[in-house]
Amino acid sequence: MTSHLLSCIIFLPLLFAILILLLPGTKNDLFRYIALASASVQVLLSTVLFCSYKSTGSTNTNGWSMERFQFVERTDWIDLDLGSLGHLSIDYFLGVDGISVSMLLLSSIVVLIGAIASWHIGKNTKGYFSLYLLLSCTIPGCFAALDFFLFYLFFELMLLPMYFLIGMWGGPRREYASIKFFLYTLFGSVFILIALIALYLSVIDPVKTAVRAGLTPNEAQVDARFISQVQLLLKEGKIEQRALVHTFNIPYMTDPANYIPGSLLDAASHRVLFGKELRWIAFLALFLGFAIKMPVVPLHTWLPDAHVEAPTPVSVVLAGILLKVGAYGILRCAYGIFPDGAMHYAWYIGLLGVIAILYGAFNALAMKDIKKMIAYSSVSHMGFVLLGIASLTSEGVNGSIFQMFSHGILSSMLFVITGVLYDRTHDRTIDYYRGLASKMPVYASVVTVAFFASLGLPGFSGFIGELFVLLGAFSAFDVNGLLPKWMAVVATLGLLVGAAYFLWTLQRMFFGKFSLSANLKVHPLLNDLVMREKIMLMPLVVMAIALGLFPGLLFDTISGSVSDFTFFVLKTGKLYLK
Amino acid sequence: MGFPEIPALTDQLKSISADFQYLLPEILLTVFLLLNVLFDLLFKDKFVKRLPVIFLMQTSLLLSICYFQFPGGIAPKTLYSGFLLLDRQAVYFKMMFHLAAFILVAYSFVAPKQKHAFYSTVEFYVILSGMLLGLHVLAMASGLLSAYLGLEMVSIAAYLLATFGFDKKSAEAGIKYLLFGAVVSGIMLYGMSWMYGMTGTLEFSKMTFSPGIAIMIAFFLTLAGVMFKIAAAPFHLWSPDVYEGVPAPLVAFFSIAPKAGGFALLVHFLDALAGKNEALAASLSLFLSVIALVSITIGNFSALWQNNAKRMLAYSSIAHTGFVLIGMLVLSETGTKAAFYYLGVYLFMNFGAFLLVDFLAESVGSEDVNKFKGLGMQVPLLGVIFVLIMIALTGLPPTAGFYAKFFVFSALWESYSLSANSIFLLLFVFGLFNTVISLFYYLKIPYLMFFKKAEHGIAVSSSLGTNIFFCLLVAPLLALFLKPEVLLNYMNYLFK
Repeated sequence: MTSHLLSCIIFLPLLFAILILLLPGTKNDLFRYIALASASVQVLLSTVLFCSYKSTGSTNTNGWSMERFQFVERTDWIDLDLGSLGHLSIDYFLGVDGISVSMLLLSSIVVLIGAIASWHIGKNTKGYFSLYLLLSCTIPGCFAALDFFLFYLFFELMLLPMYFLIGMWGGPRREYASIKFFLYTLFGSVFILIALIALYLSVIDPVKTAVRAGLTPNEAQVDARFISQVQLLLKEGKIEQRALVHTFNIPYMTDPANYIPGSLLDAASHRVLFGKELRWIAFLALFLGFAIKMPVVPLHTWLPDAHVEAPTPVSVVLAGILLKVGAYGILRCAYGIFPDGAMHYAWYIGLLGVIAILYGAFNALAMKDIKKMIAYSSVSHMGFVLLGIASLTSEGVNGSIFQMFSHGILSSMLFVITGVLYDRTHDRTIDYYRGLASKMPVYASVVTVAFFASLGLPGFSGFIGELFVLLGAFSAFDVNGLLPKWMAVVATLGLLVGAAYFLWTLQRMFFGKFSLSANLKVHPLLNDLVMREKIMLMPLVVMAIALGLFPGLLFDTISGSVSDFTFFVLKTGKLYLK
Repeated sequence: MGFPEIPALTDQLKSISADFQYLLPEILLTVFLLLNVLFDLLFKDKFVKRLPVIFLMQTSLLLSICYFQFPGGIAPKTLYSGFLLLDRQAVYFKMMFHLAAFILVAYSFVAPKQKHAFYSTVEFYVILSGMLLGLHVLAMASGLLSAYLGLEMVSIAAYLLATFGFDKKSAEAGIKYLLFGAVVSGIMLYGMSWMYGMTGTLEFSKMTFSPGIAIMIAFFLTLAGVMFKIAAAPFHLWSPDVYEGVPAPLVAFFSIAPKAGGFALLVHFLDALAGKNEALAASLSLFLSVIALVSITIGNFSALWQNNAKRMLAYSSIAHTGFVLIGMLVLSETGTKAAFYYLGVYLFMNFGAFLLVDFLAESVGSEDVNKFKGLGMQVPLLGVIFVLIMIALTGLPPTAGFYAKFFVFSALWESYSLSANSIFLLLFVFGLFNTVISLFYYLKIPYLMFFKKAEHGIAVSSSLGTNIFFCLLVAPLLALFLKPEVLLNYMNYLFK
């Protein structure tokens, strides 16, 4: 089972979705339980995965070679003869390192919370839950895929269920929000596709090429020394065009020796377009594609709309993990494949991070709708992730991953919290509520925890992530000189504004004398949290505190891979830029 | 002494009669055509009732004969001293035509109750067979004469079929088609006469010329006829009107078979000529690039504003012409293969789209997309299939439409990396971003079907047969997504 653990995690929900499709549409209750079962099993399996992942110390040796990945599953999926172009091989290639294993765990947790939050979806439950399960199949797929093509497929497949989930079960302006989401993300993925096509035509799989070129009878006999021989032959142009096997394998794409000499993305040939190196442009294309998903200001405008209109569980999944897919893509694909571009544009990326932090925070301060406020706080928190990645220091990137995990937990909590209020009153305007704490004490205390954790109070997970990001950003100037010191200083302002909007909202809505605005149309029935809501929120509270107190729970797993990552990017990037 | 030519003539006659064996599908097609007319005269209504089944059997027989025409290994065969060229690519196109005809007629069994009247007339089947014959000639054409003959046979049959809605709109469409077609046909003939005058031969492969402005003009005038057939902008003006007026199943056929025929001719034309002269190849490539760019743009942007489902799909098919052209204009084997792949996938997705639109439009009594509101809830399976087909037309996974675009743009990128021709880069970026624009209108119908409530009194239901029919139509799109090598390996076989 462990040899196919990743496949099980990815495709289990699909089996459950098919089960739902086969059942008659009247069994509403059953669908909920099936989705719950699927999500629970997914959590169970990813916990097993997380625990049995052997965290590696930093080796700082060969960077990002394939040996860094565990639970690897690799079989040929598509092998196409492109004629004069050679061959195209697409692998079903899964594997995890410390970064992706933590994201996988996060995604299954968030999906489970979302499944419980979907309990009161009443309309067309069959369609809803099958789409939801389809969505929960694509997300772990993204995190586990090590073949760029496979990654792209999962990335694209996310759009369709999301579009229908927002568009069919969302709020009043759901149609606008869903199409905006779809078009924005598709616009971004076209950039990714452009880079993808350019990449695979430039990169070869040395092992399969050796077999095609007749250098060795089978793949099993190929070892590292043999690979470097093949790469040398490639460099000297001694392998004929027809024998080249083009690949989407991400680890191969990270190795400069696998690029065909003279191809457009070969670092040594320095092809130039519009006065910029083509590799940098390709990096920007990848970055842009993922930045829309993340989202980075100024490409974020789809997010508040999508969040406000999406039903609670979909908001939870959207903020909890879909945004992380963007950040993960930047890390794994854009940075991993184009370290030179990453270093060249580090200053701008850092600046975008700082802008996102401040812009998101100030917008959140101005929002009247609590869900919109939380959406903008997501923008701000993802800005920290970007800043940490841009710093390319061990602290910074560790902080980014931690921040992603922590934000996944916290934003799920925050959106469940808004969902709780919306279920009761059908209005989310902050100003309409006063002194809710007296009516809903448990709810108020959970909100207090969530808000304090989100604003970065020590002792909660948010603090650790942001602290490490700021540390990394601050030290980047001395370590690798990529970011100026003022960026970290300015970003710290974001923390201050963050505290302001969370505390202000808390004070306005929950403290003081209880009163409700007359504008609330539905007569509100303000009961405290019911059991289902407690089941969703309590584990999240526990996790936020546990990670805040014992950050090692996560750091132990990710830090080895992260230091490999930063070492690799800096080393290879410098090599390319020379 | 006497007449020394006679032995030569006998040789020629011999070779002509020897070549007949290669025309088995065409001869059989002609025989079927005549038999259908004859049986109609003899048995009248009794025969017409069974005609769809009989036609399906005839088409399947021809399809399989075409498939086995190349048991493997036979080199391209020139027939009738350069009049026709029978190669594997021609066979691929012939199979596509018959498959299209098969789907067109098979639909008559699952169409809504008040099914199109043309399905029960013998003339429809006879003219359709005539068109198929013309398409066969077109697919094998290797000279100006056979190209013109093929194009005219196809066109005349198409003008007639266009009026088979038997109403005012359909008649108008037929006349429009005829008028546009006749003008373009004249232009093309004019260009051909120039070409013949300057090269002294009708055969593409024997043409020799020195590059110059006159020969360019001749080429472009000749290509205009082909561009008209494949509905590439700016020769597309007829297509939205014709597509709107003609019954949807016929439109589906028009948007696939004659278009594929035009591309088949284009392949032979480019194959024989572009390789000879680099300057010519470059200017042909530029000419086709501009056409592709304009087609994609006009197609997609015009489709955005359409509310008539068929008109929208008409513009969409103009855009698809542009995408297929991209594969052709790079003038590489990879590109042509990609274009062939695209056409193969396009057959299924375009038929799917048009027939589903027809099914829904006939059921609710209007082609206005706004009348499709809420139908997704009433016929969920067809709704899901519709979504899949639209996603395929956009070019997104999990459908074969994704690979179709992927291969075409891969070929384009390869050519760009070899030639550094900036128009290729423009086409690459612009073409890919057009998929985002196209998503907007492709999603319109699924959006109305699922996100809106049904208007009062509109109820649609689909029978088991209909469901199976559409499932079969969409199945290749999904299967080819999981296993694209099935079709691509066949492409490799075509080009061996």
